[in-house]
Amino acid sequence: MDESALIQSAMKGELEAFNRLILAYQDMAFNVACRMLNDEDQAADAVQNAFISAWRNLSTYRGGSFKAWVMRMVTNGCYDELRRQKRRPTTPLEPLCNDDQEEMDSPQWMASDDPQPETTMEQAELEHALSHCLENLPQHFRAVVVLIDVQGMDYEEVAQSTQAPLGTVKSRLARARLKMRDCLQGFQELLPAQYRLEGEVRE
Amino acid sequence: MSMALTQKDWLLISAFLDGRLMGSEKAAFESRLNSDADFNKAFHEIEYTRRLMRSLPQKRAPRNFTLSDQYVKKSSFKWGLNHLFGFASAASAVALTVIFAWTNLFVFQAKTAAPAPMMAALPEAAMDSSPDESSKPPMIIYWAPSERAYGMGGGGGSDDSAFAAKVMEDYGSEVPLENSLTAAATESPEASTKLAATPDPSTLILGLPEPGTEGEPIQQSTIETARVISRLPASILWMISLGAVSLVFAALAIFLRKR
Repeated sequence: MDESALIQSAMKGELEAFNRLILAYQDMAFNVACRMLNDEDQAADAVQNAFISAWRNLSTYRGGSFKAWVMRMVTNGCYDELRRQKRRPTTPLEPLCNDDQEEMDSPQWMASDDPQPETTMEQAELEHALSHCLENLPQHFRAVVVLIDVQGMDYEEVAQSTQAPLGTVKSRLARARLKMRDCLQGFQELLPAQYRLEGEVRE
Repeated sequence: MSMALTQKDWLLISAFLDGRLMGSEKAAFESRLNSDADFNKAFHEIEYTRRLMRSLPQKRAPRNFTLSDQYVKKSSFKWGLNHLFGFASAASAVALTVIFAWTNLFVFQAKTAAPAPMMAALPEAAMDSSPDESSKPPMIIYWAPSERAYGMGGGGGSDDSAFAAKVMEDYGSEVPLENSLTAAATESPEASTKLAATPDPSTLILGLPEPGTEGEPIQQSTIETARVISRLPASILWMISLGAVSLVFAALAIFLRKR
């Protein structure tokens, strides 16, 4: 069954059809929420709430990209969660120190004075660096850069998802990439060799 | 951050990377890319940043987020109630606003519009007023002429009896004296008993119970309360009840939404 038929059935109240749509988009939704919130548990909650909200508000879907409509629910859910965090900041209950008296959550790339351990996974380093830089972006910039650069959505879909005009999306994307570049330059030496910018370009 | 490049340049670089430049715009961009070293450097840095972000691994959802029949039924009932309470709260708030506007705004307009004709009539009224009324002596209340009014203002002369004689001479018998009743009471015993039965208002102290009733609980009858409520205008009562209803429904809607 194709997507439009599933959407039609879901709009008639068939939960089975809607669940099939959920299965099609849940990985993408989870990835977006993870990059927005930088926490897998919160991301899972935000995605579940987004799908519940999507089911309740299915009648408001007026055609167009269903993926963009679902991602709108997810990004709105993430904004709500970020606002809630701002109002009531929480402290994780994990132990702050391990045997070496270092912070458990502290990524090794942040300890610039220490030599980089060889055993550290390269991909994890890159992900940590990117997560750190993404977290420092303003919310609206983060949403745009995650949807376009990480999830590969096009400008029109992102404009629909973020409820922003196309020109705003382009502007936010350009500025977000610039901020990401500035942030990532601080981690150049710590990134794996294949992810480093060539010397002749960076100087 | 390059100081040489403008915001538009960064927008062009971003658009070019996403394949959004066409025709002459694209040709101009490529030409500048070959001739301008700073522009070329900036382009490569942004391209590199974009490549890094695209290389991020995609995570799998930790579980299925599908909805169950039971949950949907329960949820839709709560959602319906939430909508109902929300609507009721909004309707009450609107009604409250309308009544408030009606009772305050329009009444205020009527009040401000009314003095105009009265003001116009003032000069005529002044012309009509008879000179006899204006020539009447003003009423003077003479506080305790026999004793000095310490702390009551007005100072006090040393010779009060002389001052009183002067007043009596000027205004004759028309001068109303505060203690005239007291004087009458001393003359007739009937008046004296009447005066004793009437509590002197000047001796009343608010907040003190009457003699003999100390220690008794103050009882405000429900009838009295009902009388006070009945004295309130109907619009105020409507506004209070609508405000309360609006708040209660809003609280219920928020509670259901949170759950």
